[in-house]
Amino acid sequence: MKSRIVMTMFLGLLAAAAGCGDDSSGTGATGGGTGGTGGGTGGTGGSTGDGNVTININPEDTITNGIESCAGSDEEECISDGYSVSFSRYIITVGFVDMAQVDGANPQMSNAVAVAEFTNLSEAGSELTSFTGIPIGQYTEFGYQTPLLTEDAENINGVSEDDLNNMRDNDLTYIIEGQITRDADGATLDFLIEANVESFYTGCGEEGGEAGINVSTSGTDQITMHGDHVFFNGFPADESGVERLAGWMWLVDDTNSDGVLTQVDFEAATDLGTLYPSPPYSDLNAGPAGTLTNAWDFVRSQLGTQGHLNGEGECEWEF
Amino acid sequence: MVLALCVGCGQTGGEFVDVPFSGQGTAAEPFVSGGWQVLLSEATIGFGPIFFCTTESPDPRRCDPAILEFRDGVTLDGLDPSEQPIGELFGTTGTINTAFFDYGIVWLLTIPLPQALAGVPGGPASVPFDTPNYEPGGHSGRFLGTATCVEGPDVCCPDADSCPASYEFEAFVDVVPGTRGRPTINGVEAPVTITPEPASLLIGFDPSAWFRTVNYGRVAELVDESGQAVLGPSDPDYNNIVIAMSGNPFPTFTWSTTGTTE
Repeated sequence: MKSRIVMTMFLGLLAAAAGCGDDSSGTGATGGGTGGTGGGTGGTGGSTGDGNVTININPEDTITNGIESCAGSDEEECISDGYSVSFSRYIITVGFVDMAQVDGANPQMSNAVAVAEFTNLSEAGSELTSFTGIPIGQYTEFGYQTPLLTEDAENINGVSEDDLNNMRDNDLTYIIEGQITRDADGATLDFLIEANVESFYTGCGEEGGEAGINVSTSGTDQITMHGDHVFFNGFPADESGVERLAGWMWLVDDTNSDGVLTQVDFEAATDLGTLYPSPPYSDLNAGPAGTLTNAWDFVRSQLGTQGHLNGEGECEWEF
Repeated sequence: MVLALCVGCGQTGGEFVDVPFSGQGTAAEPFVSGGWQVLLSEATIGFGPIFFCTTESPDPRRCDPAILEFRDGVTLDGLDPSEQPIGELFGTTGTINTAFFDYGIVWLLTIPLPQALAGVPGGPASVPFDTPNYEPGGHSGRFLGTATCVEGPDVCCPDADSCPASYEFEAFVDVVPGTRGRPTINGVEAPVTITPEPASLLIGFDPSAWFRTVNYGRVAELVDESGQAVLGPSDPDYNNIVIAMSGNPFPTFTWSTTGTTE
């Protein structure tokens, strides 16, 4: 006889998934008061309290150190098909932090937007915004955006005026300049990714699953931007089983022979079956860009997944 | 062990429902791509399992629990536009936003290799996709068709010394989950609110659309003496078909609920 219990296939498949319902949230939630003045630099909303939290932005070390080839590397985050990658510029806009306690109680929002050159940011990060005098407790809903540059966006670490103008004029949220080196012969390939990827990251949680952030009388959390997703072999739910591959980019033709791969070249690369063979690639249409038709779609879709919380904590993402 | 885990945490609190569902193919229509007129003559699709979830995320871990599910594998005629009853989704009332599914091949955490389910073409079977000389069994799709050059060799085979006027092609495709413990296709939009009122679902497939991404001039280079080209995993165009099956286009999900269609 067929069971009438709805079975969670995914927990079943995952088998070792941690616990059943995620009831870890909710500590300290005090109900949704209104009219409070919580919020300091940039933060507004909700009830008042003794909670204070600073939200920093920081880079994953794949941005600051590059991504090594797995050959001869003991790094877990390495490229397995015979290439290494370095970045000379990695500029991203981040902002509009938004968080709330259980069931949307005590919502806190910040209009702060910052632009930073992430190759020069420290692991400790730089302040994006802060919330002061807000209720203490777990903010189970935490999100942010990679938005267009606003008029009053803070230039965290001296992004050049040329880059800022480029971002404003062309609605960019990312400027990434880098180089791939092929292990076999040391040959190099330059790329410049100037992209509009206005992502909304929601439901961010700590690595391991706890939803959101905990706000105490004083604390700091990090919005961590990763740098290696354009080399992922798909759009995994977490990065534990991901494979990093750069060979696809090596196959993209420099269609205008300007010596650097840019959007026009990625857009011209439409033979996805050659660029992203399956396996090792899978579920390529599962990213925020949806159905892919060329390599530029792949780049934008992967960039739209790079936002994290406190290092490796995952967020949901959408354009 | 798996069942125990599921029973312990799977109930949503809604009312139990059964939702009959069917598959529907799309009649083959010739199309032209790269100077080739292409017509599929067979598109046998392996499908299932499928799960419907409240989450809007493509992360299957956020599907806790599934609202509706069907855990078996079935075979569908992708070129038959009539409704092909599959069975019943069972679960509870609730809000559905997304579907997670496989094309007949699942990869459980508890087994070393992906498995083609009973009920799909060539199933049940192990799918040793990572072994040398692996030959796909067509568990996810068995496709036959004809490509005819209609715009001349210069267009159809621009870089080749010779160009067949026409050839038949065959692709036995396995769409293998990329990650153990995770479905192949994750988070496809399929919004509906399931109430205690009768409901049904029609899932539509368009195999010919999947084949628009194939480079038929390149496939022509595979044509053997019998005039047939057989696509395998090492061929970019086999991969183009796999990628297309994973979302270019996605199947369509048409719900009928108390006389309305969502």
